[in-house]
Amino acid sequence: MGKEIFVVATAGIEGLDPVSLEVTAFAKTWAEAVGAQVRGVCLQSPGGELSADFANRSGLHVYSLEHEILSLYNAETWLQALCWLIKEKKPSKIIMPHTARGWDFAPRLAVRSKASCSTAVTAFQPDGPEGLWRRICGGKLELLVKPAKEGLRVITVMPGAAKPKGPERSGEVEALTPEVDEPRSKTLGHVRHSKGELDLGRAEVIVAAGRGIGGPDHLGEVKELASCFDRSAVGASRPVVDSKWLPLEHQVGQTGQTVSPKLYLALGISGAIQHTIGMKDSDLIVAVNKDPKAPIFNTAHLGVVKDLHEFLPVLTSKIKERKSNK
Amino acid sequence: MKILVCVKAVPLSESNFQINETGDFYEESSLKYQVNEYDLYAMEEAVRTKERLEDVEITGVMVGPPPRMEQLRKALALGADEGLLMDDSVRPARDAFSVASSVASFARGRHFDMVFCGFMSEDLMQAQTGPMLAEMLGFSCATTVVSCDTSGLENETKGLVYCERELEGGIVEKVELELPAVMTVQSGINTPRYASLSNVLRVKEMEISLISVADLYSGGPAENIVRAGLPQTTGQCEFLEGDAEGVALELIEKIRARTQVV
Repeated sequence: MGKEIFVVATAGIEGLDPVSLEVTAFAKTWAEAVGAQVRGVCLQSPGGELSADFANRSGLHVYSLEHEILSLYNAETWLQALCWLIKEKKPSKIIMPHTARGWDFAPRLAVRSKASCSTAVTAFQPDGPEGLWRRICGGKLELLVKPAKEGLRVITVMPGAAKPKGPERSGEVEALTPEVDEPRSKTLGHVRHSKGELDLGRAEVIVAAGRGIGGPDHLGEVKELASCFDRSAVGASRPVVDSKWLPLEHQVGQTGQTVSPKLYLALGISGAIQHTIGMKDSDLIVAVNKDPKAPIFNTAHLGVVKDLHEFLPVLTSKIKERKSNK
Repeated sequence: MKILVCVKAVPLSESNFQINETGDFYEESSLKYQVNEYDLYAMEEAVRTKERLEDVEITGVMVGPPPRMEQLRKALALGADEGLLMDDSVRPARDAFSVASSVASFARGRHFDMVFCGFMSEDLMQAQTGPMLAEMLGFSCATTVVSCDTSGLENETKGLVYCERELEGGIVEKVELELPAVMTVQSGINTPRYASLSNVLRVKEMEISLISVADLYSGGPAENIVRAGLPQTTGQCEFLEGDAEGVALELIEKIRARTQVV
């Protein structure tokens, strides 16, 4: 087996997923540490633009797997194409983003190619040969994992695990034709769930509600606090949207919106990595949570360990007092 | 039609997790357990499918030690017909490959048409078991399913199921799955029912088979845990202490100083 690390780029309806460039940065740093080369992998229909785009933005030599059947993502065809590539080129590791694109096929690829599989990885072990770190229990703990056997490793990397870097020079594209058959199951298309009127990206202040607010009856307190600020919006963690306390357009996080306002107030939000990915670049993050061990405090700048129902009304009234005294 | 549902028992998410003595996992002895949230959605989806179609039998399986039987019964009580606990107490199965291999070994030859799994477990958060199981069984697969349309099966046309998968950015991917298929479900797909009293009683009396994982899968783990650790905090969080009023005033001052939004 060679010493090559493959980065599989993923794409959505708007082209290359930017997270592919984060994974590229992760792979490059790891490759440097273990003395390996990095190659990019794209899957597209012949004549598509994805591979060239990925090569330009990553600086990698990109294997462009091209076939008419690959025009729309489909787990089965991707599996076939990637297994074909693995047989041809024998990489040591094959890495992709831990997103709904990546986790859909990575574990299956591992089984089919008799590789180990590590998902949702956040870092490689800098002082050791091949360990990978990943979070568990909502982010409260992390594990260092290693494959039990030698051989190919299939890995998915958490969004936000590495910062993308502009390449020094453009890469190049090498077109290959994999052996792919029509899949049994078909991808029919994509639909964008209406984002609604709310663009959280325009807000200067986001007051975000988590499960800890206790129920939709308490949203009034959240909205009142938000109204104390100009250009503010109410955000939500995923559980709040799943429970239908707020509509999808308020969701912040991996499957919601990514925001970086001047002030992000996380109320009753535990801070699982799927949420913090969406707000960790905010200028000032304030977290209020009655659990002092909530992972949100690993991301927040200011922390308040109090019961929301006691603290929120006090905070709101003090802000209002201050405004009326001006 | 036969449906398999995979269920896992996980510690309550608000638990205070400590690293165990051997330093390679969380300490389990003092934890309270519940059904993995995503697996409740999986079982609920199976029961709804059963209500929609004729002649459906649901089997619920769990890999775990015997004390977790309680959580298996809780999941079965939503409306499953039979259950099986795959006992891993001799060597806890902490990697997805071992779990998937055990379930695959049981499922092979039993002709399941659909398998519902939670998309990931709340403790290990790997999102591997479902897709691995699909590959081992040679089934179709869709992950993070937020909607599952089995109406085509009512007319007994070709065994096709229509799913919507949730992608990032508010995009949904529509897929047509040929049965047999594994579907891993994402939160938001449904709201699980409260188990009816009659179902709770029925499941309480139910004979739940117990089989040792070693009888199903004798390979070792595919991935080893070297050690467990506490994530490095950036150390940047400043905690404000004191009574509510004092903290509120201090907080407002700091917000004003750093962002001028107040």
